[in-house]
Amino acid sequence: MRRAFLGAAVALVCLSSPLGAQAVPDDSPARRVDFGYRRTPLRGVDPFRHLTIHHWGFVVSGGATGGNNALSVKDVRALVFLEEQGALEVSDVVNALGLVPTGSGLQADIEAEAGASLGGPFGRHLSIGFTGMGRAYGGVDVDDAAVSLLRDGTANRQDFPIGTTQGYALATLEVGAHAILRFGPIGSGDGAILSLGGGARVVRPLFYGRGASQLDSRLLVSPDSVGARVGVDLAFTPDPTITFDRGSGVVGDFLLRLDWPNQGFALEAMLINVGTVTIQDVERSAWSFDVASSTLAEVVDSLDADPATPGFDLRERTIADTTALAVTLPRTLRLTATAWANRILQLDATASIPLGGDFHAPLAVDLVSTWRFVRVLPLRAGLVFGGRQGIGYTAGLGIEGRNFLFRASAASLGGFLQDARGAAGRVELGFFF
Amino acid sequence: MRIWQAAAVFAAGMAVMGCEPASITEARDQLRGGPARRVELAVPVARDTFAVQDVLTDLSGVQTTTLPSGVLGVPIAEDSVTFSTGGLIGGTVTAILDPAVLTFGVDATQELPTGALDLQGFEDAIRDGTIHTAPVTVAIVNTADAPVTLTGFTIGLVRIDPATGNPARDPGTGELVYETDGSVPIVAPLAAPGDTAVAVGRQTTTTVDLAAAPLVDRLADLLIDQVRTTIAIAGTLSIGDGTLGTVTGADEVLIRVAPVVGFDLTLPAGGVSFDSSLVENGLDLSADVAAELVAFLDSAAFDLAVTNATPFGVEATMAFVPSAVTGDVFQLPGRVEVAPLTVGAPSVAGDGTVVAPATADVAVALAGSDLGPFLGTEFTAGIRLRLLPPTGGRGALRATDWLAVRAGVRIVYRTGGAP
Repeated sequence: MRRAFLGAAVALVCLSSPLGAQAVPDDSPARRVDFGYRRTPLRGVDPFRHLTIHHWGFVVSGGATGGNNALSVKDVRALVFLEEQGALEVSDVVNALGLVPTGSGLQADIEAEAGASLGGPFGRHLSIGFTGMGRAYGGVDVDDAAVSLLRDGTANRQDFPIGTTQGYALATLEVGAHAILRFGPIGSGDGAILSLGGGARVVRPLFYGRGASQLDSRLLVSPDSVGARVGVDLAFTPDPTITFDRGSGVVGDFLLRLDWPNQGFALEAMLINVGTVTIQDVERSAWSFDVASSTLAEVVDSLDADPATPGFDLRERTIADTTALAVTLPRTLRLTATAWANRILQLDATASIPLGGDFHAPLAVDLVSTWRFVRVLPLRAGLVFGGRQGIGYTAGLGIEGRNFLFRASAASLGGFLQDARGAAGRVELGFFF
Repeated sequence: MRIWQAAAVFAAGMAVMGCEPASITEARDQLRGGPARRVELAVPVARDTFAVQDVLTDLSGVQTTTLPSGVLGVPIAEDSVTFSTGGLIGGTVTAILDPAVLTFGVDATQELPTGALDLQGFEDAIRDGTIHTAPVTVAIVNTADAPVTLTGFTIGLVRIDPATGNPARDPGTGELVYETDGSVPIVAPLAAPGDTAVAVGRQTTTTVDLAAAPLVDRLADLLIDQVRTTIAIAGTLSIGDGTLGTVTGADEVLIRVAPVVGFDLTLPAGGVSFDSSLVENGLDLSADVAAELVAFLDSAAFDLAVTNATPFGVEATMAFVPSAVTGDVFQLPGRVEVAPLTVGAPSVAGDGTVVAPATADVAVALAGSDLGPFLGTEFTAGIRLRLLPPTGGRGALRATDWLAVRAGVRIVYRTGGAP
């Protein structure tokens, strides 16, 4: 991966002959925007977020994104309302399950981070930054077959494999050091400025938990019989106290960016979370039950009955071992193209491509427009395509000054405001000197 | 609160602002945002085999007994008739007792109490059917220190004359007026088959088993129709055997009679119908919840696969009304009536016992709008059963007969499709 990344960097440099005519007039707000602020902030994890700013400073920031693929804010509010009114019925739950898209199952996830970064430039060509962050990942995937039992019924299908159902959570503390080297302009005054970034974060897990159904888990509901074979593999850190000696890991982040400042154009590739985190003292266990019966009543009774009941096999949770577990953080490649449309409008397109890992999100493309009617007061609006929610909307505003930074952004994912099936928010506050 | 926390709360507030549903209906319509679907869920509910004896005892409350032939029967309460031997002789005597001299023509009656036969709903079947198996166990207790002989004794039935309150007697002859089949009195000889007399030793008890189907058939009919009836026993009683014996004034011959109604019946060709109704608890849902459930459910059906190894078939018709009511449910307005369900009778041998079970698949289907009676506090179910005879009409229900039922429920419900 690293070799391919460097290869792409070399290729881009070779192709970085001066682009077309200058798109941004010298006296426009765009032309006078601090070089570091031209890099539009991305959603989600971005280790180089503040390192590109050309001043020494201290930034605190926090953000979260979360959502699901089925229920909108209005749907959730309706469920809460019915529950508060004491009117929540089975039919309401079944109707809510009808909102789960056929074939995809019920998916929900959340990612949150908060922390601080300190950094700045050493001359024109080198910036160094240090970050300390707390991060959390969590999610639930319910196999579409499990949802299908109530959503679609048993008329056309009696076998419901539920082997891809899982839930997970990981909380970490991390400290990182990153650097960016800048070269250029290459070739001429209008040539590209090449930025090469890299760094590493030392990640300390605080809590880890994962429960997943075994692949051969399935439910069988037919007019003649009811059966279930459900196996669940569990792995979690059983000690609830927060401790910093629960393992560690180092993950690397890489950046390649080409800016054509006079043309108002930039290309960027960023690869994050390369590496694994080893979590110590993870208790691995399994739990399962088998039941097969010709009557639903027997299945229901057997759940409370002596496990020795014929046809019913409930096994106590068996602890396999306590071991060290390697977890791969969501490895993501982000490709960004930036262009100035005119003297006040900057356009960004970013594709977030999952390359594996344990908590990765599906491919998403962000289109962001940044409006600088006043140079230091950018207004941002955009669209998101993909991810778990489909189309989403983003908005943000900021104060991007020489000594002060404030940014607030929000996203409405999968719909607009009340129709959203997910949301994201982020706040950054920084001081430079 | 830190600034980003405040911002997050602000953003969340903005997102949900104004989306509070105005009503439960609006909230439910919101959740119906998915595509309109009619979803069928079919699950097996029960699969069981029932022994007939258990069904009769546990479900109907009938106390049954198993006859030596294996046929099930229902005992009629035992009763007894007493002849005072001391009274016949005229006091206490210790002497050589000559039976040729000490011979008496006797008769006595004993009224059977109301409720002597408890059939728990099977009255119509017994009354309209013809009983083929009805054993009567007669125990004869002789308390005297002298043997006795009962010659030409019979057991019959005599109604209580409403005018006198006594067993009916012919006004001219004073003879007991027995129940008759046409003009022939229905009586059973009190003796072992082929014998005409029963000898009972000194201070002993002798038991005689009789086959008295016509007698018990009539007795059962009279008891079911609550006609005051007596058991009448008459014959010639001889005391002594030509040897020394003693009879005191307190001595007697006590005859205990224990009839059993056997479920070995010939039913009329059209079967036997009987109605019953019962009040059951409903789901006790509030009106709005019930309305929501009715709107949610498209239909519900019970599928029954029945294997019938009893000699009779059954046709069942059911009707339901909300709340507890009395009277004929089938006549009440607003009732929900289920189409008749029929499980045919299997093939039987000449003695009415099952040769091969019969199978039937039946379904009880209710539209969602028909579920109303079951959703309130209680409902009344009217059940009209027709017991169907096997080919030939005779069926003998044995303790080993069984009924296997495989039941499933199919629920079709509607989801999605918000208005």
